[in-house]
Amino acid sequence: MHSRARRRWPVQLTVGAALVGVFVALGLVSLVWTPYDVESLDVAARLAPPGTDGHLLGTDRLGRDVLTQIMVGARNSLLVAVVSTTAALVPGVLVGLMTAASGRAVRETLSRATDVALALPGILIALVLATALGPGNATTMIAITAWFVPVMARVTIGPARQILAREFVEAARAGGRGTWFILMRHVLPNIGPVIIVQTSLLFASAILIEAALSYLGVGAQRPTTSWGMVFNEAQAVVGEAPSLVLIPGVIMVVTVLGFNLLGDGLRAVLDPRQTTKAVT
Amino acid sequence: MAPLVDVGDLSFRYGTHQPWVLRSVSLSVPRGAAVGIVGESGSGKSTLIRVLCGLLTATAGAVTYAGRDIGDWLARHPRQFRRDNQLVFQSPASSLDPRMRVRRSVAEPVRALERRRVADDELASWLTLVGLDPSVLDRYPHQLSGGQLQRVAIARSLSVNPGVLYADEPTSALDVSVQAQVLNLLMDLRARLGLTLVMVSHDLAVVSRVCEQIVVMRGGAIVEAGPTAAVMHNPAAEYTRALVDAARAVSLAASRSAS
Amino acid sequence: MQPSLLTIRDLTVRIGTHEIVSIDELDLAPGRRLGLVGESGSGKTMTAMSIVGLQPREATVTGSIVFDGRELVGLTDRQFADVRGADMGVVFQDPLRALNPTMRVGKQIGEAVRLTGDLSRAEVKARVHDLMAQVQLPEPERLARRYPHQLSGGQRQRVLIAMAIASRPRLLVADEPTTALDVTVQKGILELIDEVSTENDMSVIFVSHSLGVVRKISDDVAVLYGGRLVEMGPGAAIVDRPRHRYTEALIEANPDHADPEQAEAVIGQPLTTIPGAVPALGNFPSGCRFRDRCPHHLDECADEPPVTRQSDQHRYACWNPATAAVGTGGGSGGERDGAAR
Repeated sequence: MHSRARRRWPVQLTVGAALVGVFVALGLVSLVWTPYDVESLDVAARLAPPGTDGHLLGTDRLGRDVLTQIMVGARNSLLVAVVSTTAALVPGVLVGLMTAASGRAVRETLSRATDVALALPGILIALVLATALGPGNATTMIAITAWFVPVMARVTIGPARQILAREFVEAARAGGRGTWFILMRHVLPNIGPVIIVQTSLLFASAILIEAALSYLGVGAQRPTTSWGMVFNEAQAVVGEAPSLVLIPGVIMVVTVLGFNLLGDGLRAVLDPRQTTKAVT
Repeated sequence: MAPLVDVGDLSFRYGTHQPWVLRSVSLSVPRGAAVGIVGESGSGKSTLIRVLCGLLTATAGAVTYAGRDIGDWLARHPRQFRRDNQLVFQSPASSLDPRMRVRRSVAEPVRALERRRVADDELASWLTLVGLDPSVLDRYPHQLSGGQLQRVAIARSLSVNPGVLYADEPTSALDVSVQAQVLNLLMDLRARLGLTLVMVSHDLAVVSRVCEQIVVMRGGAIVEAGPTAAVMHNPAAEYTRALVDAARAVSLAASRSAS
Repeated sequence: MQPSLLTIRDLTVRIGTHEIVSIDELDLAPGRRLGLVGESGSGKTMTAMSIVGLQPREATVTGSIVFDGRELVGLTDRQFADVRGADMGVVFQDPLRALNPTMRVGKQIGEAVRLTGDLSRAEVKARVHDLMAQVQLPEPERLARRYPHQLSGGQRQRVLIAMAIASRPRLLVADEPTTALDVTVQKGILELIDEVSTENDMSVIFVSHSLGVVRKISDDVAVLYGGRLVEMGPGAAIVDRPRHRYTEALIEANPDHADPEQAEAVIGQPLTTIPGAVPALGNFPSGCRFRDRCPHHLDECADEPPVTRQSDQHRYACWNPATAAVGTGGGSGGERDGAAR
């Protein structure tokens, strides 16, 4: 009651939110406006360096505007990250909650299954999936979702078990409430912060994985534009135009950093253990 | 008169390959009595009351409430049984959901067991009963002191008019000055509402102040049981004697008479 | 009078703007045992930890703590570690957290022994066994090879005590060392602390929330409330003839203060309570910090903090003290000479 008002707003939350904001804005603005059409080629100005008149971040070897590519790529990253993380969230948390609430035998089995799923090499699975389903955004999203479900389950189990061991859960049970009610009304709100933080961190991973898969050629395909693709195409001319690798590289690092900072900041703000306790 | 709670040869373990937590425990609690269960860590005292109020199922033996087996109660009239058998926990900080306002926590048993909404004056009356201001209803647990939280927890238990109130170390997390308030409240409520009180504690002084019957447990079994005065002054079992001695060694009464 | 081993003057411990501890005067003679008792928020642990330099980082200590002729306030962590290593032993409430879970207990005691000087392996081993015998751990050979989790709570606390006394310190500081233990085990640990401190001529500062426990182990008892020393004196005098209204109330609120002869008559009878609860940090009233919970408060209690008065055996800071029992003498009202130093 006394400490609440003076709770500090963490710096990383502000910085993280700002960086993520820039990323989201880039992607959303690209829906209505980009400096050039994403497919337009300015043949006269191929490999223009950053700062060239009309091409703020320069052009690539075909004369496409880099800023436009980055903006449209951000839109694709955003789409893949939102869809795959959200799709993994619900089943992951549910599996985690049910695992935590199960009896010993079931819990051990489910926990080990989660461990096995986590041990699978995600990128390789995605490559195999791409061979089976054909490359594309849909494949990327399926691969990332499948990858994230056990991750989400894993981070849910521990905190959920801690809450289940608390006395207010026993009180609810003594009051005749069933497991489902307890999981939804007592456990979920209390582990909410953990899940929100984890979601933010998984967003960052999803962006990286999407870029990696499209870099390898199994993710998005032209005419869709993806950051990984921009990288791949810049590879051939990295000696002449290093900025073509550096610019998307820096933007990607900054975006991922943004989500990680946001996650840390949220953790600091949402953690219920923040309430100060008197030292005796 | 037939006892309200009757336990015969009760044994309990968490699984077939787990060690026994309770071994052939027999005891009876008359209606309206205050019974104290005393023991050290690992004595099984907390497990025992969890079996008695239906949170855990006995592995062997019989437990009856009001003359009927509790398995039968839980199968046929689970809500009636749970209303009649309420539990107050040790740690006030953890016995209320930190994300719920007091209003919701206190209304919870009535909503679950009587399946009805609770009016504000009813909630307020329960808080008044335990000596709290009704304004507490809009607070969150972290805004209350340990003593206030324990009163809220007691109010929550009393809201469904229980016959038996089980209290698991209800004051061991509280300061001495607050402990006295909560003990007084429990004694007062028992007298006013005709409650049967079963209190678990490691603290002989607390139990011997509140309860007229004492049950001493060790290693899952009952070592000694009887009227408080007899157990305290004339312990039959060697373990009880050690326990009474250890408690007396640090009691303020002992130092006063010794000096 | 004996020169004191520990002399505390105008000690304050602050965290941010909160004054957690404010103690004018506290002395400890060599070989004496002092108990610090108080409820949550009394500052008892903070006081003890600032004496051994283990207060939390964000705490600021001012004033003077002179230990064996040396000023401790203002020492660097490094210098404090040297003082502790040579002359102070510390025992904590939770031995499981104070011990390294991945190291055999014999080795951990050995580490503590090694810090005390250049010893050969055989000498260290002999000293470890000697220490284990002193703290009455059975079969030192076998027990030394165990890990902390393989020992009982009482055994772990004995290991911690062995480590604390390895350097033959002149002062042993024990912070709630028996709070996490069962009563029968507590009794053994109290007896052990009594024995080792007597044998090694050690002074002890024993912190506890339980007046009964503190009374059992200590020569002198200091009662703290809201970071202030409210009353201090020989344990028996404090418990039998409390002068400060807080001490008096604390004793009466205790369920075991009743005469055992009358125990039966008081079953179900209400205890004397202290109204309210200990206020949160920063919410203590002006003047006497206990006044708004005190049934005996006077107008002057609000105006200024009570002056410390001295009667024959006690020092206490109360404007309206409980009257001294017959035969104790002293303590006439308005006597304020004790305030002067």
